[in-house]
Amino acid sequence: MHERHQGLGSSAGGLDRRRFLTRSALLAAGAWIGDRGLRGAGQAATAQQPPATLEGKDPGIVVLSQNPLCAETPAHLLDDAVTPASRMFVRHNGVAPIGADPAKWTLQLAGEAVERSVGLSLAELRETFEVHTLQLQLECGGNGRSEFQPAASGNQWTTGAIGCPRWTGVRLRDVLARAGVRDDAVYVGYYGTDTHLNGDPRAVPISRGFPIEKAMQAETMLAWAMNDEPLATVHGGPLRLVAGGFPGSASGKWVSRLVVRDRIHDGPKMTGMSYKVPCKPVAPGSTVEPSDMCIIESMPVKSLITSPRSGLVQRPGRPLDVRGHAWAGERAVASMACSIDFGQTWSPCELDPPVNRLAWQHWRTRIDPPGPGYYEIWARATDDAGDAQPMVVPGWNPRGYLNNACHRIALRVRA
Amino acid sequence: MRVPTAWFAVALVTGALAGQETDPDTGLVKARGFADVVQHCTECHDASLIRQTRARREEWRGLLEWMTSVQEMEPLDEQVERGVLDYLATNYGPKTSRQRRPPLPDHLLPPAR
Repeated sequence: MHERHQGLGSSAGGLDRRRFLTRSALLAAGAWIGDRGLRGAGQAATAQQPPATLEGKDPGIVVLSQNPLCAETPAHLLDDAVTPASRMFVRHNGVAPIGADPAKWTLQLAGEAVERSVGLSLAELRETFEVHTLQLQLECGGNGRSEFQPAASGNQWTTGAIGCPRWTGVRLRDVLARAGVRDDAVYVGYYGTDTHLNGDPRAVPISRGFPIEKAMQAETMLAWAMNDEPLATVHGGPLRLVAGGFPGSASGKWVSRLVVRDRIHDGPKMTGMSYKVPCKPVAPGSTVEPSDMCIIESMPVKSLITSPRSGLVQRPGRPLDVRGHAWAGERAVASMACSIDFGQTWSPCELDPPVNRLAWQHWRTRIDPPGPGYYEIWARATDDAGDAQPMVVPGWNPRGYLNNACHRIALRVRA
Repeated sequence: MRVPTAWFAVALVTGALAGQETDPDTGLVKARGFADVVQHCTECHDASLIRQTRARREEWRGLLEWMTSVQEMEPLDEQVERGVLDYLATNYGPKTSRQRRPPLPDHLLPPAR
């Protein structure tokens, strides 16, 4: 059944896969570090980008790591139709730039597969190209990692490395056209101004990207605003890529240079084990040869129950309104179902279409627990190709990506 | 071997075996090798990445090798490395659960009646 792996895109099929060099499969357990001191004011508008901090974030955000800065959002705080900045997850790979001046920001376009190198200021981006606003989901490839057994190394994301804000910017394909994309273009890679954790100013913490086909989609953006506010440094301001439906790492932050490559991009975290899964499914805990790993492209179908909050105690005889969001990487969600009997029976939920392609979809239903007791509500989305969320943790992989097991919340109905 | 659920929950919350003294600044278990781990392993990243990880000695060694070969970490003196690996494998060794999916964690459950 796993011949066609949902996590592997087909658009780069036939291209030589980059072989990776190292392997360090690690086991991990989730260590939750709740930060209760995050309440703060919004950011004032200044000439310089304010520093990348969690100031202004919802106090319920869970910090997984301060250095690099990584924080996720509990499911009940993701209830908004459009994810506000205060509830958007954070995943840095290095150290965010300090004090960038948007007025002096330039974007360089280069690489083997452009006709000419081009430099553009932010003002030129705004004035030269058609400006678009789209709601696009971003999900970390490692969202759900904490459930894999044996555990994988890295931040132990539970369910909260997902968000769907509204982005304003320009289409990447319009910008790339200024440099002239040659017929031999294969991949677009980004470079940002974040610095490596090791302190070496020349070291690049992460430089990933996506196939040229993804770059040419109408929804792939260079964005300078999130929810009609200037893009905060913590989310990649002043300028970032947004490649909705791909692992979040494809959507480079603090982007200062784009390279159109005539091969699969080979920047840090494109090679190695990062953001790759076994091309063919493997048994949990297997050692996987580098040549058997493939780059993740589309994320798999997934959903969240965002209301009620897990842990509810309900009076008997009262129906309960349940709602959330569903998304499916590069696909759309076709149907949504919920179960209150551990998957023995499923009831369809009402499902909205996306506001635009690659935006999450809202769903809702009403459940009626038959009597007192302990219940779990399970939510299962099915995408437009017929793939549905599994009930248990799906294909084990060394780095713990692509866990799209159904979301569960617990409640008790009083006697 | 069945592993009690409670043990799993404790491991999730503390990142280490229950009953061990932890350092208030880093949250790391205070045990032989602690000082070297703090000195060498928290220069680039904070201790939360250690606490979140549970691995066999060879896997910890693989991660150190990755940091030196790819992430430009200064290689450790052989004796220091041995002590660091002993500490990590002893205090942050593998989880032993073989569940296909863990139960919901305590903080998401309804309160006991």
